[in-house]
Amino acid sequence: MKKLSIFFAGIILSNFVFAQADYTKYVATARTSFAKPDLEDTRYNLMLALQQLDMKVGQEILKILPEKMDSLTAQKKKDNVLANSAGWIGTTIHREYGINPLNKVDVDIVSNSPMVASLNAWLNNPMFAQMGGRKSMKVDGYKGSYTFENVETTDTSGKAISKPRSEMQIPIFSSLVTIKCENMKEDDFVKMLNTLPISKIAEMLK
Amino acid sequence: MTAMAISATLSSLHTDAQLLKKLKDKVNQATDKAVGDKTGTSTTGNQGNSGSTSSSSGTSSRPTNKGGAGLISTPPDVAVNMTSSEASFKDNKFSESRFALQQAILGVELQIGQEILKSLPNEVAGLPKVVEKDKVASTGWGWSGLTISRDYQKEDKFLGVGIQDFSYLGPAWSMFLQGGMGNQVENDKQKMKNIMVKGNKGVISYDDSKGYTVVVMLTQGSALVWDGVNFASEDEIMKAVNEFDIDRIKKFLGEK
Repeated sequence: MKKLSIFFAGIILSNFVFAQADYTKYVATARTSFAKPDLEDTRYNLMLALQQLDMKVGQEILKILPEKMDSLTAQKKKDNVLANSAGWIGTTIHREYGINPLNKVDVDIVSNSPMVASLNAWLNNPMFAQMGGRKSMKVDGYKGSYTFENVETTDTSGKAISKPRSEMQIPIFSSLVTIKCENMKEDDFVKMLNTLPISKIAEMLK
Repeated sequence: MTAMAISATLSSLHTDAQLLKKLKDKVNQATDKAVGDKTGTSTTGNQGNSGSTSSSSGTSSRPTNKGGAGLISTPPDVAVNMTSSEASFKDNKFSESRFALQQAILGVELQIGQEILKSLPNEVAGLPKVVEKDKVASTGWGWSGLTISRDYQKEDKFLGVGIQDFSYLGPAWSMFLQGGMGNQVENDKQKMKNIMVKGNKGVISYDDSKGYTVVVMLTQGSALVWDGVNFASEDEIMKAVNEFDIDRIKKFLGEK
């Protein structure tokens, strides 16, 4: 188990090193192209550098996420950072907690999310803030939209069961932080949310 | 009796106030007209709103801006921003590093835009360029941010050319053009059709109210768009479009 942890830590560290090295390489190439001047090549390399920078930010955010949420352990082998720097989508950062699909937590952060505008409009309108099966709630001082529902399903023996499902969406600047949780009571979910370092994440997403 | 006197006085004051308000409105209108005549700006368009604007007093209403020097043109310094981004990156100040990198991209894109504008013809189909309408805009967000436009006009004949680097729309446009979906006929009248312009796939459309529109998709997502108003025929607008050196524009945008 220890070896496995070291292996995955190594993968994360190597990605981090690559992102840093590539950023430096692309900025250096852009500088050379700009001196020629080859404006198109400068632009291309600056965009690649921006991608690597976003990768680095994603990796840094993953580092500050807690090792555990409630009793669920971070599944770091499933950590994922995808940066495209297209502006209209941005970077996606993904972390999972727990191995049982019936009892897990997903944390997703999407920069430049198209959902943010409508979510902010909803959060800032007191008329809507308690409508549509969701409510407004604060986590670490940041307003978000909380949804709780009981999902009807069947267990392995075919017996009908009711399973709670929670989702919290927190807009931060143009990014959207989403936390989804299966099979956890509302109070426990809210308690768990407060272990997330939202202020620190917000600082990095500036 | 006293009450009646007060009532009469108030009524009189109310009537006087209305009269004064009407007089003030007339004076304001006359003043606006005089200023408009001197500055060459028409105020007739605002007359319909006189009811709402007249309710505010002269001192408390927000004044209209009569002009200013505008913003100082300061395109971001590419080299300085690259250095700043690297320094912030080394100090783990990623937010600042990102901002400086975006500023550098913005600076480069604005330079590319200016170079493309310089390369466009000064006159097309007998229409001179409208220098003050030259436009280069960039979001600095990369891949999707550069827009360049120029207008050509003589009397009521107009040609606008726009160059949009929007790679994210590229696949949709490519599908549109590749799929031959650019053919639309309404009431036996051809509204839109696929064309080739100097080896590049495109679409031409015509609308009585708008005139001709030609869109040419470049290899990797950028598009050139021409709007022709009061062009006599498809041949005439295509002749104007063919005056543009598309290969040169592609080179500036890094397109093959």
